[in-house]
Amino acid sequence: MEYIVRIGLETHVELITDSKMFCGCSTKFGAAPNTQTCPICLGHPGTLPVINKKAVDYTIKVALALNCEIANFTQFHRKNYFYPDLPKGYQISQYDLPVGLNGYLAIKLNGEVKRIGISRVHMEEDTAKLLHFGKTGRISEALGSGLDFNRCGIPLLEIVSAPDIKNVVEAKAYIILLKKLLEYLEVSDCNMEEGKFRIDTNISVRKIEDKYSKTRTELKNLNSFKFLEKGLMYEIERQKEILSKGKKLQLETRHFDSQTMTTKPMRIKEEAQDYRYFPEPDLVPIEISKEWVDEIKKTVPELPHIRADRIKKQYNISENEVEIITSTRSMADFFECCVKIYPHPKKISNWITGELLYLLNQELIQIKESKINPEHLVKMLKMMDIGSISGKIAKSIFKEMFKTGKMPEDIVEEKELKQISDIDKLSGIIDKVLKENSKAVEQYLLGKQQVFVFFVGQVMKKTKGRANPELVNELLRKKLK
Amino acid sequence: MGEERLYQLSVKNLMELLSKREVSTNEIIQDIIKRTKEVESVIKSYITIDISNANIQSKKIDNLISKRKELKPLTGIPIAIKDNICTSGIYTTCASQILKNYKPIYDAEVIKKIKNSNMIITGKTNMDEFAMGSSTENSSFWTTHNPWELNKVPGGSSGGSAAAVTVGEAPLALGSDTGGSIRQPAALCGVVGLKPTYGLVSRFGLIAFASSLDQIGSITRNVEDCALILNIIAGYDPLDSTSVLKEEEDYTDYLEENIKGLKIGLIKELMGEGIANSVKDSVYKAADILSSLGAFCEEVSLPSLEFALSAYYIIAPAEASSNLARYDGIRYGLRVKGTKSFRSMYRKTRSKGFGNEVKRRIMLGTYALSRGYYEAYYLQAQKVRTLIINDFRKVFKKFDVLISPTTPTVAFRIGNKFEDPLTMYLSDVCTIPVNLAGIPAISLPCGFDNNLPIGLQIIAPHFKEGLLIKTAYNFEKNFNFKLEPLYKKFRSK
Amino acid sequence: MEKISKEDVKHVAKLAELDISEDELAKFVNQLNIILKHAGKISMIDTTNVKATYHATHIINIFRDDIVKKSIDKEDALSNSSKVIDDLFEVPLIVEE
Repeated sequence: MEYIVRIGLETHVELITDSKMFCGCSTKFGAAPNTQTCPICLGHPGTLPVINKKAVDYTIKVALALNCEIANFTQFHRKNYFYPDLPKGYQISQYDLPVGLNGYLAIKLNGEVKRIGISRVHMEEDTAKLLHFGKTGRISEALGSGLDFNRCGIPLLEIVSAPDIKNVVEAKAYIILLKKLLEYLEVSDCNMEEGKFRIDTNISVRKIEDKYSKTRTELKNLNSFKFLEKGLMYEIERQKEILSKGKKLQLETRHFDSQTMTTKPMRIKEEAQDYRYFPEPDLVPIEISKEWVDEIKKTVPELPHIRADRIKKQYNISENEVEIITSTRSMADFFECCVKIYPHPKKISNWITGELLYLLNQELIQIKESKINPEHLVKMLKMMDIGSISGKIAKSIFKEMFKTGKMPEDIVEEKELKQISDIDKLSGIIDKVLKENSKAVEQYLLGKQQVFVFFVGQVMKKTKGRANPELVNELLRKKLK
Repeated sequence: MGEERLYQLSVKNLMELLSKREVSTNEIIQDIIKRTKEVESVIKSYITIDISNANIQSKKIDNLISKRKELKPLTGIPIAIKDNICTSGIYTTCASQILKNYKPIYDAEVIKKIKNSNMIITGKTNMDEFAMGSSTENSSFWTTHNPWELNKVPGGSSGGSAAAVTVGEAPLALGSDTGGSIRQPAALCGVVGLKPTYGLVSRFGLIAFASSLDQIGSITRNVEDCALILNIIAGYDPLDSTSVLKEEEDYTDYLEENIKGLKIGLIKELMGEGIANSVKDSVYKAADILSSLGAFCEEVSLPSLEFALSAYYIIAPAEASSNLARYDGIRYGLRVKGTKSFRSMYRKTRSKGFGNEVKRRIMLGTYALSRGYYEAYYLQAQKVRTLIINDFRKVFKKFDVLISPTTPTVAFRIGNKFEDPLTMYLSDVCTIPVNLAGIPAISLPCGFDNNLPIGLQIIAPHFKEGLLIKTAYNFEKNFNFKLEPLYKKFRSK
Repeated sequence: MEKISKEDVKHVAKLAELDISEDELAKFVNQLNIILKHAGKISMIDTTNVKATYHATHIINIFRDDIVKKSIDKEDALSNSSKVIDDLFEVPLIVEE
């Protein structure tokens, strides 16, 4: 049986403005409960919202990067419904006049490019955080619930894709690219663990011959890649199975149960909420002029896929390496900064995709947060070029630079790591090694070639690894003749 | 003339006495307190009286006055505040059980301005619950009585403010006006009520009823006092996105006696069948007076006004149904305990906390916004609103101001219209169009019907409060209306 | 304009989180119908090509800068609530009915 699967992804992204969408409270993550609130975001009687301009700027920026048409005239609407995490009993959101419409995000799969339509990009405010007391923190086992309003009112971007996604692979590619894009635009840190990047999906599966089926399932809060993958896979299979038995699917909302790795029904979508949208009377409309759009356009950086292509061609770097280098904007900036002052892209790429990546992953930090900047790496490489440090030592110097942020020349001096290339000095040390190991010398002269390595090792030991390996080899051979 | 007490004096007079140091702030407050004790049990203007605080404030201000030569305008003047305006630390209930114990943690912008001017808040006045009503009978606490005749309503929803000013419990008061809630009680009580242009006065801290219609305004005993307080409360507020940035004005500049050549339009649609004859007569006489002062009065028609009431009773409840959704018992206000689920708590709390009129309007508003009905009701009503705005714009090309009755009748009996919402709504027919258009209007006394006051409404284009003040001032100077007889009525034995 | 039915009122009351008893229901249905009949007059006006007015002013583009202002103290934030646990606003169990 042939099935057609259509998946739409709806992402809610918290913007990294300093203050909330409609009031001046801080948006900093991790504060003690209810310490970042005010009468406005608590929804006290008599309070009024005022729009944070930066949030609008960021929304326009994202809409531009997603190739949307930017509305000339945009307006906030009230989305009316009751839920404890919604203090006003309505969310200030957007309805039929969003900031961005009809865009696309081009994903690359197996060398082929596919455009996933972006239906709309709009702004709204985040809700409060609902916490459940109880043993496991899950709703079904809660003894009670409590609300923390710190999150309430943080600017939220809603990005809705068209149902152009056909399978889990495409879904993952879309999310990965979207996250990367938003990170490049510096509008969100997209931290999924902190709830700053949330995914809901709409999935509809139908038999290929069933042209008119409109039934879709909404699957909420797939908040990690793993859940997204598992949830989609399970749901697609579940729907296929029901259809294969000749039954009909229900229009419903389900949630992903991470314990059982299955989806469970939440509420029947038939009784779909009537949000009674109407234009927000407390906020006057927004006219987005061409000048404003142009101003924002200037702040849109080279987008990740374009940058990746260019770096690949310009510097002749492999696909895999480019992937890593452009995984974040700051990584790509780091790379290109290095190349500018030290035009050896291959060398730089090796260090970035090798040692640097390893250390970043170990510490679980981004390059932005590390102590290393391009100057560190370039200076170190230059020192290697003139032979003042060996390749082996370089690795430990790099680790030290990463740990302390000190410049390579300072580390070398402090730890006396300068490569020894002084022939006389090396000769003296080699002589000493050979004198101390006369038995081994005899063995070598009798034909045991492997002992050579032992001598090199001993020289390295005595010089704490600083001896210039090529010279040591040369001198040793001479002396052993 | 008889012994005049401090509570009888206008704001202007009190200011003069204070600046001459002939009287102290504390003396004024003491007399206000005395007067309140004399009449409050019978009038019931207040929900919360703040006597001790007023006393303390007055002493602080007297201290301030003794140290300074120049006083900020309205320093030391007592003022009553309608109980839907947030006053930090003082109960602000909207006359509802759902906010019975609510003490705001912030001051409304207008309150900040009043405090900044060293005025003294006497207390929070009674009103129709959440400003929904035209008689103050919808208060969940008690009804306020019209000082002219105690078995009559004072009007609403700012009935408490109007009654307090009328009977001398405060020289002036703040109210709010969404469909006539300042002007109508002012008319029924024989005082001056001003609804400013939408956007002139900040709404931050005004507990919302219908966001696109609400405005804070004043109730005073004369036009001069009205100009004085308008100077204090008007002004752009960055916390209110709908407040307008404009050049500051001194509204007392308009207190000049000259309306020669002023073109006044008498609104035909508001002088028709539903208006009592006595009211019509008074308004015609008022037009004559204005003409005698050199103005040109002519009848004018605004056809779309016929639909204003209908449009209002869709728009206002719709916005209200959304504004009142925040009362869920979680962060403030009444909470019915012992429920298992949050929905159950919401329903029980809201059903217990809201009165019938509020419930009616919430349901009406929800219906008008709901799927399938939005276009026919809410959207259509907002289009009708445009037609009304256009009619006013057209007419203001020809006329400087417009006049009409403020209310179709004089004060009606308490209990008369209470059970019949539609009849109650009809009492707003003259005032509502003004809110829909967002333009300013003032009501001032222009006659009597059997000892009950009749109000004249003057309407001006956006931000032409000056014209209102000038026209009203001139009329006032040439029409004999005194509150003194009323004071005598409530003299303590 | 249509008349509002008992079912309509029940539905609308549910949307607005209001409990209406059976006795109240009849009264409300009646009152709402009277009001709606009157309000429904607006359907008689031709509003083709008329734009809706949602705001009484003509202002647009009112914003604030992205500057952090001091939040209120936690105690003040929680002060008006009748049930607080561990600095959180308590809510009865979230059970979808």
